[in-house]
Amino acid sequence: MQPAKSYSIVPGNYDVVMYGERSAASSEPSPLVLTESVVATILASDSQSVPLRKCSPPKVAQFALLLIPKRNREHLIGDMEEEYRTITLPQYGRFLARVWYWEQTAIAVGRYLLPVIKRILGFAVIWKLIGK
Amino acid sequence: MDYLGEFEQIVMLAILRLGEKAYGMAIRKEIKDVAGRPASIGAVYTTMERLEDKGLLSSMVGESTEERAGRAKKYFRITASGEVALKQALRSTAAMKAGLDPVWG
Repeated sequence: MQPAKSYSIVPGNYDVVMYGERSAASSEPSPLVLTESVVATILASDSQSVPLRKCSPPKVAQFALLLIPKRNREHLIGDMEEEYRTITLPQYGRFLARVWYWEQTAIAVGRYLLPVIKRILGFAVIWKLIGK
Repeated sequence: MDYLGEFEQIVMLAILRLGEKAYGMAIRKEIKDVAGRPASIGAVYTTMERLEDKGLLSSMVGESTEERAGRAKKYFRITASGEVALKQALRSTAAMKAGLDPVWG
């Protein structure tokens, strides 16, 4: 009998959970069976993980990010989402991670919109002076 | 000759340190870890766009991953003129700093 085959379990993603034993007598793998220890591991990991639908960043903030020029929008949102999912959410929890995402969104949108607002205000001042 | 601001120099140095792996999130993390300076992703991107417009950086669209919800990464690298500008800026800073050790103690 060969040693049991084991695969790592990713919390929240049960698709990768496989467990089975290959008999030395047969070249065919035995049917995949979840043993008690595997089920216990899944339950333990699930109790610590956040449901997948709650892992996504705030939808309204993502919508606000559409104000960023098209040139780097996709890459910037992708970077924010990657950092949110891989660093901020596991480290600080859902509430603080969402606060972080909102903060980053406000700064990013502000940095892109500020020059536009300044330009509009500048034109408004010039228009007013010409009018006088 | 393009003169580089302090944050522009930091971003370019972070890109040099990261080499082939220099994309937005990694650059921001490198600045935070090495320089100990918190920088928002928006600030990093606006700076990189400015440097790209000046011809000091070039970019290349890379792969997308599941954590990014299928969005592609954008990798940055320093151009030859960027390298010249960065060396010049660092030389100027070093020259200004030279001889100040007795003053600072």
